Amino acid sequence: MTAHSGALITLAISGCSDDTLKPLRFYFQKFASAEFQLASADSAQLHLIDIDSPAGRTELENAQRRGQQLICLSFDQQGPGGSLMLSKPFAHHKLVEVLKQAAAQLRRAAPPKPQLATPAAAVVAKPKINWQPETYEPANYLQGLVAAAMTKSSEFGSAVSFTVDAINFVVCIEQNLIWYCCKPAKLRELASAELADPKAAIKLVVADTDESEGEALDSFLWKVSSWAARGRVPSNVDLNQSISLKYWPNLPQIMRLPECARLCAILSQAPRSLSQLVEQDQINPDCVANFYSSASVLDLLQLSVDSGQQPRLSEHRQVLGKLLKKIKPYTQNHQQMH
Amino acid sequence: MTDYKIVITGPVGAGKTAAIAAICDELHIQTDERASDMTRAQKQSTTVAMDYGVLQLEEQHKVHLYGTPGQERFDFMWDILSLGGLGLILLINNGAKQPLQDLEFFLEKFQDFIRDTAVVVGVTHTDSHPEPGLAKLRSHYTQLAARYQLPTVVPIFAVDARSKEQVAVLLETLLYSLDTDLVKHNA
Repeated sequence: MTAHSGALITLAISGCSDDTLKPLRFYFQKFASAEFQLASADSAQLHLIDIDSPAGRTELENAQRRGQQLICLSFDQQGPGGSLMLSKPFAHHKLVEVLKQAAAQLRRAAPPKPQLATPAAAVVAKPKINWQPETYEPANYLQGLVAAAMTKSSEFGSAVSFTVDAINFVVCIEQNLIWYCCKPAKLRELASAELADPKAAIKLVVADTDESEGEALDSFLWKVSSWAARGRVPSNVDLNQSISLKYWPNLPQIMRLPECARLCAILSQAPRSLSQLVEQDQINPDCVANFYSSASVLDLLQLSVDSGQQPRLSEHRQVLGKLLKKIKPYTQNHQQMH
Repeated sequence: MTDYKIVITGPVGAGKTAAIAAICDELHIQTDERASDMTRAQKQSTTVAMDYGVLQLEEQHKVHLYGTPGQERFDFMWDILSLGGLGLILLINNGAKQPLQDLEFFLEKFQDFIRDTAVVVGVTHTDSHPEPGLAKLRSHYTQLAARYQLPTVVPIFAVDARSKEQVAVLLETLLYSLDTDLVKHNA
């Protein structure tokens, strides 16, 4: 396993006690994330193992079979041939020193980067994404009318109604509910189309609204906003402005948007711009745009300063991935229910 | 074969037993007994040791789900059950007497585990008991996060613990909170 100059080196830590593991993880996530990325034991290029522990000794054999570059943590001064030693208890500067040696060894062993001289090779190479999404004006869509109705309902202290394409919507901010009568396909069609008359009259409703079951306004706005976006972003958005998550949307009980859980996890842990989400995190641009549209209308996002903080990675990625795959049919079933 | 575990905790009646029964695909163990203390006012039986279920994965990997008993007098078991766990699902009963205090109590008890792993909070019974609801619980969490040095923003969801789909969303969220790059590396 080798590393190219400039590429992150994947690193696993095994066999360590919690007392050793915590500061190591903290160090790699906080201070060494520009050069090292924590990874699972079977996929890492570099493996730091406490060979004094039984689990570490087992993992050492596995790592040797995989041909991983090793850093052995031990009270002894000598480890297996070809490995670097870090004597316990280790000092910070010793760790830095041995990591430098390991990185240098991995990079020396790396084959030269392939040349992209031929047209065929150029076709295989992944082009750099330069994301320039189309924009739209939310106020000209159903989501804009609902937002205006919510403001009116708040002002009047009562429910209000408006009509679009002969369908009547009643909004009550006090109960946080909306009532309407149309099939989901028709609602989606209404939400996706730019309104001919976005300034439809909003009327005060005197009648009681709580006799029939309404839909939660948050849940309604979430879905109509993503339908309006269709891979576009609101016209006033700065794609390079870092944002973070204020609160998670109530995912178990709203319409599921692809990549939404991952986007929320990233933005709750580290500020990102929309461009970074697409280009750096390689999330589908349409998913980023639709999520932004829905999350911003529910006021779930805030402007932030990019502190260079990186979102979390796990050394148990392999099993977490398998568990994700296992529950996927259920979460997809949840998607169909909404 | 490698085994991993996820811990589900929360007060009496929050839905821990229901959540494990809903999501696990192997016969689970329940150690419910007839309630004999003030728990009786809430339900007929209660978990006295633990709930346990298994999610069988590919290549003989297993994820064990452990549900802690809810009563405070069993808190000596909580550390044992959470040792080596991947993450925590905390269920709060919105219909209980003091859901905000329950949130605080469990965050304090599991603060070390949460700092090392991740937490997802599921709030149950919100349909029958709208107050305090998500907004107040989120706001309360923000204050507690500062006090216990926990992550500033964690998932706090309204959830039906009997629904396999909704419990699966809780788990999915926990997984992404533990590793935001899961999809990219498991496509």
